[in-house]
Amino acid sequence: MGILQIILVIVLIGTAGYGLFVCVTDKAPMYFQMVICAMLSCAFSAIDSSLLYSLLGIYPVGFKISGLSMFASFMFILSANYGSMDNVIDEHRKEERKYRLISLLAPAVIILELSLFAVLGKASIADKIFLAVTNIPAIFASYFNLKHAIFPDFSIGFVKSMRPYNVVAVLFLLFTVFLNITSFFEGYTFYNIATVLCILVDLLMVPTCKYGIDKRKKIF
Amino acid sequence: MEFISYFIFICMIFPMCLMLFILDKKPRLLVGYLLVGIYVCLFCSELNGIIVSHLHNDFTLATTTYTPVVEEFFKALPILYYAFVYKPDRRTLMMLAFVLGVGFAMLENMVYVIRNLDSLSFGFALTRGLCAGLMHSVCTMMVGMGIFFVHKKRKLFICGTTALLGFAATYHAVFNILVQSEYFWVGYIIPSLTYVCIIGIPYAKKSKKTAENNIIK
Repeated sequence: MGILQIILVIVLIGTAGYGLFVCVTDKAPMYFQMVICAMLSCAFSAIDSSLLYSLLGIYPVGFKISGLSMFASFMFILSANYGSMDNVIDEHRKEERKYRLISLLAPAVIILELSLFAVLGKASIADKIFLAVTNIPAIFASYFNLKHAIFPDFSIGFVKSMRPYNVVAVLFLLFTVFLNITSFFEGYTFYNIATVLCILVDLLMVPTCKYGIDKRKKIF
Repeated sequence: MEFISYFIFICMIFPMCLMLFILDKKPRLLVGYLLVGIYVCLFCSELNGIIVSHLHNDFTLATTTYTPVVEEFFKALPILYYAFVYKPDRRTLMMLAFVLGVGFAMLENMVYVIRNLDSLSFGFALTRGLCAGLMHSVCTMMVGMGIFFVHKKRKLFICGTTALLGFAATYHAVFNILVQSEYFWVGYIIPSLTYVCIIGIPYAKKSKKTAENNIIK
């Protein structure tokens, strides 16, 4: 386990811990709680893969619990934006169609990442399939996050306050999928780059979300 | 020794089933879910046996990668059913989830103790009872807590429940990895710590609120 991976695990535990502390000390809305759950899942994914390899020397081919946890993390982010936020923001009017179309850019990038890996990657078929399946929620989540990042704020000021978080969340999804893919690459250059990017984005996830939630409290 | 889990199951389940007729509404429900937990454990042990034999008896790989998913999935099903059909309050759902986990852990611990008769000690029994037992209950309770929040909205339900199951399975797997490694004591601490957090935080919040109300009065 490299030093960067250790830093990533520490950062993830730290951000999730900070989020939990905020939830305990203050009354946090469900949206924020879901983001914290996503960070916790991500932390557990990193912990699981690190411990499995470093303590027991096991590196399973195909199905991995860490992949399932990453899937859970993406699902939490998707639930937060699709389940509790999308209804408030998007009223499915025709005038806003262009924002919906632009939002397809983020999923397109993830699909491109996964497709390139499927074609050029040297992993086994089982690994490729499992990676594709576990990253599917990231495709949908990135759409909603980008949509909520660029959507016009009509009246309540809620969209505007959550904009920084949604931008960070899109980056989080893109970089995390990139990290998942690069873990199968030969050599460590791309993997290390992806890890550094993930560390930076993970550090911003909870603070930006808290910033948005706090601002929202002031609005109401 | 081959059918030991079935023998223990029969010995446990019959007196409890008879008890159901004596009990009132809520205790009956709790004992009923305890029985469901025991049954789920028996069912999962059979499934896990099949998985282990498919993995050429690689017990470590099975317990760190596959069995947590199977166990958490089947433990969550009765909770999901109750949440959907009866729409209970949060406390009832959490109680049922915890009791189901206890039932699961009871049968698992008994089978584990009988299969390890040679290496039995007071410490072994204590850690097994306190930590592994608690881990099952804590995992199911986390899922139960989550289901209460996500089952109200259809849009949240599918994503939220899948995410919760994935999270619980990973938590379980991390525990299994740690208890099989040289840092087993860390694994034993994790469920107790989570339990303290789940039980202690709402209590602390409640106490704080009461204190604030008293000051206002």
